[in-house]
Amino acid sequence: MEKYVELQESIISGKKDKVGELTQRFLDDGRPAKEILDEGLIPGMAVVGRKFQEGEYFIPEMLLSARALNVGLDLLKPLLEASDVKPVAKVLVGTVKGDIHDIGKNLVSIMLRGGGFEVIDAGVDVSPDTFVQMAKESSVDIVGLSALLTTTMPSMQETVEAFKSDGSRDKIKIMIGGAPVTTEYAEKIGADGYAQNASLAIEMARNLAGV
Amino acid sequence: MDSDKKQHQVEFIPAHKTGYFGEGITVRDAALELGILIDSDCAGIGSCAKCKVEIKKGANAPTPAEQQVLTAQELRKGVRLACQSTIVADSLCAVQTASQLGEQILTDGLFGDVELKPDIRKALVKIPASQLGEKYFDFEKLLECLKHQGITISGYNFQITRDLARVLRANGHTVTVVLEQQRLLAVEPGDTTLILYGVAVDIGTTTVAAKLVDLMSGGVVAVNSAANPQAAHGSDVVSRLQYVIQHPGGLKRFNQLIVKLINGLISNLSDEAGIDREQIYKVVLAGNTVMSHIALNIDPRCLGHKPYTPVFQGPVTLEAQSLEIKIHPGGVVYSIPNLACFVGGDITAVLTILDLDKQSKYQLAIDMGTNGEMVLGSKDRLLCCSSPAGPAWEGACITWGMRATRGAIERVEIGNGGLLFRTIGDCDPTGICGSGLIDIVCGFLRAGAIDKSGRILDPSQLPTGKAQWVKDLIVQKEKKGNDLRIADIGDNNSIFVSQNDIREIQLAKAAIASGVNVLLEEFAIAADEVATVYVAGAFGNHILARDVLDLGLIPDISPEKIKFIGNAALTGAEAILKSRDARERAEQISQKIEYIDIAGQPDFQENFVDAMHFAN
Repeated sequence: MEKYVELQESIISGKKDKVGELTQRFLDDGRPAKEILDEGLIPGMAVVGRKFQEGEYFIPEMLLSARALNVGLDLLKPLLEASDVKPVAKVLVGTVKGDIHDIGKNLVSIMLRGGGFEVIDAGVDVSPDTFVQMAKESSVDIVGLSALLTTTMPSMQETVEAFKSDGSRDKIKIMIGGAPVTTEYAEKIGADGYAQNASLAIEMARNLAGV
Repeated sequence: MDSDKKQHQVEFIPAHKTGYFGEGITVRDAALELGILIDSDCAGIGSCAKCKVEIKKGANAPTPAEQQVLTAQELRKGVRLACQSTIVADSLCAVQTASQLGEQILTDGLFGDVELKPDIRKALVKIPASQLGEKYFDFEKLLECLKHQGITISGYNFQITRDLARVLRANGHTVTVVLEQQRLLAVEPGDTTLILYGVAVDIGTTTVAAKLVDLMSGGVVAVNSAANPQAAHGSDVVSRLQYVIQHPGGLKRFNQLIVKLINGLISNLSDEAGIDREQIYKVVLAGNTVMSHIALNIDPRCLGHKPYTPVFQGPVTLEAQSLEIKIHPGGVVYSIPNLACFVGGDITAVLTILDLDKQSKYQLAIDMGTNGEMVLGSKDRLLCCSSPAGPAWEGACITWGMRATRGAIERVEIGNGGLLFRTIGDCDPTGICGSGLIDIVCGFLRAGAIDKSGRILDPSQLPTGKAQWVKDLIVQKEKKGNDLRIADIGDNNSIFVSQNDIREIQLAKAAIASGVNVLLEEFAIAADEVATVYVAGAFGNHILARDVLDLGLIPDISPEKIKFIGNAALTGAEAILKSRDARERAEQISQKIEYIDIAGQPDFQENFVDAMHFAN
């Protein structure tokens, strides 16, 4: 919608004050939170994802847009909850045990939030048991595992196994990502999907959530 | 070797080395067996096209990968990829080896020469001949004569006694002994006291460089370098660790690769200097912790995950023979002590020549390798850290990147109406080495074609009035960002730098810059309190001080404080080879330096991401 163009552009250029100001103005004007999300924030973030994939944006630009997005989301969140608007799906993300790198995982969180998902961040160096426990507590639909180090990739497999032995493997979908990870590896360890970058992670999450 | 497989004779020219190999071995592996070093930087999967050889006889059919990356013209000429092409018949291969390529390693005397006082030395001994009826043992007589000259030997060198009867009498009971401190390494017939050589080696994750040093004069006789063949299994130390952890026999395989490469370099150096490799008695190794573990055949697996624990610090002195390093059979290999986690003997070597621990003002040393290492401090406290920068500085993982050898664009001037470049060896360009890449990025930043975020702009986005030549160098593309055209090389091809290449450099420089920031924060000082910044690396040419600033490797600091010191790890290893004092200093420094893990710092991510932008 025409009137959301400026909000979208503020997300794209990472102007967080402007995003806050515009979001508040739309709310004051009585626009529904769901509409602001769907017409303003999400399309803006989709452009950011596209620019990232095409090499125009790099990590700092993406994080700048993410900060702007979060300002908007924080304003909308209580209203979305009050009006019982459901997120696309609930995702638990974390960097696996032995690995303390979180940039890739954070980029995925951002893109998922920007795609209308609710994201719970388990942090870094997360043990298989913690993943299982947190997934249960928050009754998430999808679990996203990240690893930057080739040497910590086996922790991904251990986490998948932990969900199996807990008996909750069938209740959730598992997607994995990180520089050394491949589709073949995802298949090998019995994950449901792999995404090469944060932008493609949304598509994968949508597929897994069936939307 | 698979002895049950059919053997074929393979000859390599112009090195004129011939060997017999089982069917199916790749040309690259066959070459390496013979000490011929062929560069590559993809995982041996045939995508980087940097290992081209010409197979003049006995070639098999090109693989799909080769058909993909080689032109029809090349294939007709018999040009093949050494990593893909396998031996199926008696073959003749023409290889441009590193020794043909002409090396560009900076060897300027940037430091005061160390006093020539090596741990290894020779002494002439004249021994009275034995008489009938005398109680006389050759070896004990030798020890007795040495004692008269004030040289006490500890231990019994069994290896030497085996051939001593002949050696003693070959030249009228005049022999030359070779000593390493109190150790007797060898006895040579006659007077050879004027001939003694050593080799200093820097085992980089991406590039391995070596110097042959005349230990009588202190002069460097020859320099050579080659790509680390382990790079075929991953470009950084962590992927090397993974290979070792996941492949049974992986450590042995990596160890063999590096040992063969070092032997190949030693052979090239000896040939170039016209000496016999058995005149070399000592090899000094500098390398990061993972590289030094692998070179000594020590399993480094606990470096692969938190808390990143190495097995040994060193220093370690081993018999060259036990490591299969081919110098004199009595020779030794000295591995410079490691500092902590991934910070290895290479940075110890750098510190040995810099005297950071003696200065009252703060000094900073940055080794811009694939595994970036940084040290900040003064005489009161020294702190080091490491940061995985990736191999971009050495030209790997960059579209047209290459090591600093003949044909590499090493210097680029952008301005005054165009782009000028110079190649190593002043020949036609075949790629770009680290110093050229840095010049290109900084030059286009200043010309306004790359913005601070690292993006290559569209020509239309440049300010009107911007010179047309700048716009003409930008190749606009639909997908994945624009390219920067650097040099035309005929057939409508050009050497270019892609948007993705710039991103690789941004990641590499952010790794270094964020490490520097962590160190500054730890000392709670501003960058301008640092008196000198030493920048080391195997880039090719010097990097200019203004480039260091434009890249944003270190926050605001005046350019005259920045000193480029070339491949200082190799220079340091050379100093340790030449001087006992330098060796002792290296060992002291390794004891007193502190270590900080940067990735574990709470604000590290923010710090790293902030450092991705250029400073310009």
